[in-house]
Amino acid sequence: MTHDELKNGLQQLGFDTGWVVTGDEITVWTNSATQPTEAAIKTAATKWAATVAAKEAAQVAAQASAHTKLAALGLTAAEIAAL
Amino acid sequence: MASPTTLPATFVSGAVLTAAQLNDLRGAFRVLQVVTFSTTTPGSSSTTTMNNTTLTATITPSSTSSRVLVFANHPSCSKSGGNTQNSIRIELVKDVGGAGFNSLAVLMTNGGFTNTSLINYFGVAGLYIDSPASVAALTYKTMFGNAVAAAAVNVQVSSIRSLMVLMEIST
Repeated sequence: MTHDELKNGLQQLGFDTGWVVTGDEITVWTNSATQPTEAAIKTAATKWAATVAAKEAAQVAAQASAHTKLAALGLTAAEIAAL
Repeated sequence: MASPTTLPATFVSGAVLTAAQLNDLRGAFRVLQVVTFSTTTPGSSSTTTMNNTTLTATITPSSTSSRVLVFANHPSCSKSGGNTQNSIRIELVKDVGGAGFNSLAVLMTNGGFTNTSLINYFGVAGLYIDSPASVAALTYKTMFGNAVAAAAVNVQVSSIRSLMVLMEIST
């Protein structure tokens, strides 16, 4: 598992405190809860990535929708870009 | 080690310098050695306890009168979203001959703080001039922690290289 997968997976699982990730391993675990398994972290990291991708896609879609609506109001592409 | 502090306060016209004085001049204020180390290993922390960034370098001074100039640069740090208060603290610490690490300086405190849950990216660079008075192996390293033990603070984000340079300077 990569560093980002470990870090994001732990946060996705709700572990907001009590850990340190160095490179590709958890080097400190002081959270009162039991350290989650690698499989659980991996699954959570996948969910985290999907959530981030969905947010980005939603933002792109919202921008496209806004452009369409502004164009329908008569704004030129240059005017929309200048906003 | 040669030292300008043992030279006369002034020289007079026609004075002939001794070998010792010439050696003092030769050795004065020179960079005697340079040690560098870099790391790309990413680190993330959600605790206030200070932990290694993996940036560390060791130098053994040639004289007890030497000073050590320390450069430490972490160009790629960040604080994650998810918490309004998290921010990074980075310290420079030193070990003398394996006796244990002690803090020398805080290179950054409350780094990246925004009082929002926004992600924030930034760099941290620090300087320190040490007077170790030792010829034992000196290990310098940076350590980092999260100011509020919430969410995450990160170093070497995206494996961007951090660098430490140690220079022994004669005095």
